[in-house]
Amino acid sequence: MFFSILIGKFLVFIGKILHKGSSKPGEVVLKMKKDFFKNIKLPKKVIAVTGSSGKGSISTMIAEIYRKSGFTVAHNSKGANLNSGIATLLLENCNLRGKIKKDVLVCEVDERFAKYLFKDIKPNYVVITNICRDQPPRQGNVDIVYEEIEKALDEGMHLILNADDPYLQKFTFADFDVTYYGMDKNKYSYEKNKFDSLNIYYCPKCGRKLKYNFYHFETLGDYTCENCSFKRPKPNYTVTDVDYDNSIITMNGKYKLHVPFAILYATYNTAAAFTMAALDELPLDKVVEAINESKTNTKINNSYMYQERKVNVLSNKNENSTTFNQSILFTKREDKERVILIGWKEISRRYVYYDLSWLYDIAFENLNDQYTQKVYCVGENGYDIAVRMKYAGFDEKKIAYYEKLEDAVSDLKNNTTGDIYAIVNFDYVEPFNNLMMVGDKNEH
Amino acid sequence: MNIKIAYLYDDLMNLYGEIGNVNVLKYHLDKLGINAEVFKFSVEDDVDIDLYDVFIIGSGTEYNQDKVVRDFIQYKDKIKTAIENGKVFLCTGNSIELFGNTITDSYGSINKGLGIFDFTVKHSKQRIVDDILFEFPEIGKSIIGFQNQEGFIENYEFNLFNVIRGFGGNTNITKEGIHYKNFFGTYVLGPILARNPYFLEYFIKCIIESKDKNYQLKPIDLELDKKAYNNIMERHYPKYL
Repeated sequence: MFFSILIGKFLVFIGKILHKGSSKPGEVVLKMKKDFFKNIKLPKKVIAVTGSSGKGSISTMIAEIYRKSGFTVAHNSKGANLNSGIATLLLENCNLRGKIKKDVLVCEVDERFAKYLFKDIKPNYVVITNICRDQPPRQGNVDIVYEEIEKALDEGMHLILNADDPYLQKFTFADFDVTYYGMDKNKYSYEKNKFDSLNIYYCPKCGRKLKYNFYHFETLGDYTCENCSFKRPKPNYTVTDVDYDNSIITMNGKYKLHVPFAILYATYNTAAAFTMAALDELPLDKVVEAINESKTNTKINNSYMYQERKVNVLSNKNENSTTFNQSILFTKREDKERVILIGWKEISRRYVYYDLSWLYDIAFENLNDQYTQKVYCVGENGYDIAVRMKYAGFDEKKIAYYEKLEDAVSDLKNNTTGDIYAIVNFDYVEPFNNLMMVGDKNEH
Repeated sequence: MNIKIAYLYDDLMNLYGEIGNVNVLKYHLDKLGINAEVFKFSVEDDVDIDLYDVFIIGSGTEYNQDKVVRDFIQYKDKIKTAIENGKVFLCTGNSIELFGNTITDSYGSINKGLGIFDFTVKHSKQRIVDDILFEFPEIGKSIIGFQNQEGFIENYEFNLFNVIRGFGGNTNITKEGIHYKNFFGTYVLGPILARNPYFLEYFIKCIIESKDKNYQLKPIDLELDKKAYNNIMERHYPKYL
């Protein structure tokens, strides 16, 4: 072990000199020492964050909270969340005997790799964010992801779950300690489902159709089964108020927290991090302070003005209809004239497949109202997006196709009015922002 | 003309944008001046199969497929009659598996299928994932789409598509899908009609003819769809355009 750690640490050192943060050291050490994880002496507190989305933001916020509260923290902040990434994180933070020199280990863990890692890392706390449709060529489907995470869980692990998500309640059927966060009904809640093709409509206990008192988004909300005892559990920590105009949420009626962007998942991510800290009895004044100073997510979504027009840049993940649906709900908040731009550079950066079926899981129909003046469909799949808009009911005169983002943005700037919503894959966020700034530096 | 579309198990078999197929049909039938109505049915409903002209089912997780096949089997005779009578079916992804004799899941437990086509299905943990390029011989056009399946059909002579790229049957790997009268079943996932305008045109004609062979069909507006299709073909499969 000593020798493997020495090599690993040397590789970490080389990586630092070359400014190349990577998971290579972990990869090499895992090849040399298969039981590397078993031999690491972990700190008393190990927190893992897994699930389809939000892992990075939540784990970063948790790490910031613990630091602010006076703990030393090891965290894979760059998002290297597979075995090799976690091994690298441990190498960076252990001594030559394999003892982690930090008080707390916070790991963002890929949902398919938790089953390999948890058996040795044995987190005390596991935050499972959500399980949504995401990268089907890699993940298969939601039930497969559920099974993979379930395999990773073991007694003694305390789960932190979103009470508003009926799908996640499947994890509670085994005998785990669970702490819930959730959100009360607020002015953004709605009573009639707005989305099609969702992951769960039936009671995971008895199989009967679930009823909802209200929805927050997709299947999230206040659900109940009229046939058995299954219903939304009462959250231990609740978002009692949201003030999206000022990007402030209130937890348990008194803790005012700043959210990085006034969108639903930022609220849930913040609530999850708060809940973790509150559960571990950290001083809540420090927790609030840490969250309010947090830098998470600010680069992902943003809003700014362009010549009297409000620009909202909403970052999404291709092959993940939930992120797009979320952006649609955000876009629908304001009843004002708007133009929309949808597009991406590539469908996936992980593999070379061209599946677009997920475009039809997204409820673009919601955007087809009197306020949407034009929809720009941009990039290599611009025509495919345009076809999707046609079937969402948009008049073809309102649909514009551009292969190049610069041409679309130029047309949008010069020939349209109203607020601008860029509902784009994350690979278009920066290029779009850069193009909006061209010739208009003072306004940005 | 009135056309009634039954979108079956929309809340369980909906994994890959299959609702796209339903919406695309409704869109064009409406534009053609045909009164098209969509009805959604699932496990808690009673369906009078005889009332509908078109049946659409999409793909689901293995858990949902299991729930569906146990329910669907009650309509076995009615569905068989509907297929024999030339009603139109579009079954994408693993919904095709519902129509065979048995489905054996990856843990070895067996569910009975409707037994309308003489095949058995085996699931394994090794998934088959790929872009597909098939040829639809009836119109000599390529079909683009995607496969992502854990099951495969054993011992059945597929006949719907010719395989250019992707996974066909295990009896004859050059063919994929089932075409019998107006029944179209394929492992291709999701919105196959939205992405393949030539197939869509053919499919709409099938629906109309199943109701009235002499109906004077107006041209179908697929200009934008064809641009999208041609764009994908030019980029990825120029040889087959």
